[in-house]
Amino acid sequence: MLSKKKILLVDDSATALLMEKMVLQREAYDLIEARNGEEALDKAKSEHPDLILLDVIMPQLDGFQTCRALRDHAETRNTPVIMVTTRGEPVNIEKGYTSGCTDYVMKPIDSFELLTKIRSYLET
Amino acid sequence: MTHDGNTSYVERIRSDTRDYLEGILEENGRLRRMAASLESEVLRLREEQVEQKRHSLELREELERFKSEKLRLELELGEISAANGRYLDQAQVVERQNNDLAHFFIASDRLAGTSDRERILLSVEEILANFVACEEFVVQVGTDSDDRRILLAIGIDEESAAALLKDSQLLAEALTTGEVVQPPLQRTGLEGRSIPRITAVVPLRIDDRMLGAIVLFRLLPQKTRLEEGDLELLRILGLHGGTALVASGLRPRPSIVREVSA
Repeated sequence: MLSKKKILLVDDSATALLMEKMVLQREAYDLIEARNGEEALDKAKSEHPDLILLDVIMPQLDGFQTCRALRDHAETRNTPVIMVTTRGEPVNIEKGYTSGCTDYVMKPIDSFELLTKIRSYLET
Repeated sequence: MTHDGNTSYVERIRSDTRDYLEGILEENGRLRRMAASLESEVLRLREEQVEQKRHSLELREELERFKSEKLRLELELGEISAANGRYLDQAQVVERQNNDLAHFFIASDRLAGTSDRERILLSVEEILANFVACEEFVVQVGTDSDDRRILLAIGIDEESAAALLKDSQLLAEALTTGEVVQPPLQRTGLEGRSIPRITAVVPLRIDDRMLGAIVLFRLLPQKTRLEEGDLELLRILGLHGGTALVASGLRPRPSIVREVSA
C-alpha cells in the first residue's frame, strides 16, 4: 500500500492554515503545521515532508529566509517548496525563486490552482 | 548404278524421310505441348490479374473506410476536447464556489470561537488579508461622526482614514441600510496611481443595530475588484464581527445605535 504524501504547512496566520487544511484534506495527504520559520525548519528536518507550503510574510524569519535555510540543508535541499505570497509583483516573485522556491501561489489562494500544482510536484 | 544400288538409295531416302518426319512430328508434339503450357500460364496470369484487381479494389475500399473512421474519430476527439474544456470550466467554477464556502465557514468559525477583542480583530485582519486580499482597512466603531473611534487600522494611518471617512456618503449609506456598500467607479490620482479610496464599507451590526463599520481601502495588486463571494464574506464578517465585538464587551451606547431604515 502506498504511503500518504506529507505536506508541511507554514503560516503565522491561523486563518490561512485553516483554509489550507480544508483544501488539502480533500486529498489523501498527511498535513503538519508550523507557525513560523524556525518551527518550519525543525519540522522539515524531523518530519521529512514531501512538499512545503510556505508563507512569505512571517515575523522574525520570513518565508524567503526560511526557504534559503531549507536549501542549505542536505535533507531539505530537494523538497519542493511552494511559496504563498501576498504581493504578486515580479520583484517579489523573483525574490522567491532566488531564495530557492520551486513555485508560488498568491493570496487569496485559488484551491484549484493549489491542488493542481501540488499534484504535479508530488506525482512526478 | 545397278538395280540393287537404286533400291538401297531409295530405302535410304525413305529412312531419312521417315526419320525426318518423325523428328518433325516429335518437334511438333513438343511445340504443341509448349503452346498448351503457355496457354495455361496465360490463363493463370489472367486469373491472377483479376484477383489482384479485386484485392486492390478491396484495399481501396478499406482505405476509404479507415479515412472515414479517422475523420469520425477526429470529430469525436474534438467534441470530447470541447466537453473536457467545459467540464474543466465547470470544475473551476465549482472549486471557486467551494473556496467561497470554505471562507464563509472559517470566518464564522473564527469570529464565533472567541470573545477576546484582540483575537476578534486579529481574525478580521487575517480574513481580509488572506481571503479578500485587502491590504488597507480600518475597523471603526460608533455611528455618529462625533462618536467614532478606530479599533484597528491596517496599512493606513488612523488620521488619514478618519479624514477619508469624515463626511463619507458611502459610510452613511452603509450605516443606514445595513448593507455592504461599494463606490461605482475607481478614481486614479494625477500620476495614474490609485489614491486611497474606499473600496467597500461593511456595516458592523448585531441583528438590525449598527455598531460601526469595517472600511476597506486598497486591495492587493493581484485583486482588481471584489467578487460576489467576497461581498457575501464581507456581509458575514459584518454580522459575526459585530456580534463578536459586542460579546467581547463592546457596548453600543444608545445614542450611537442606528436602526436599519425600513
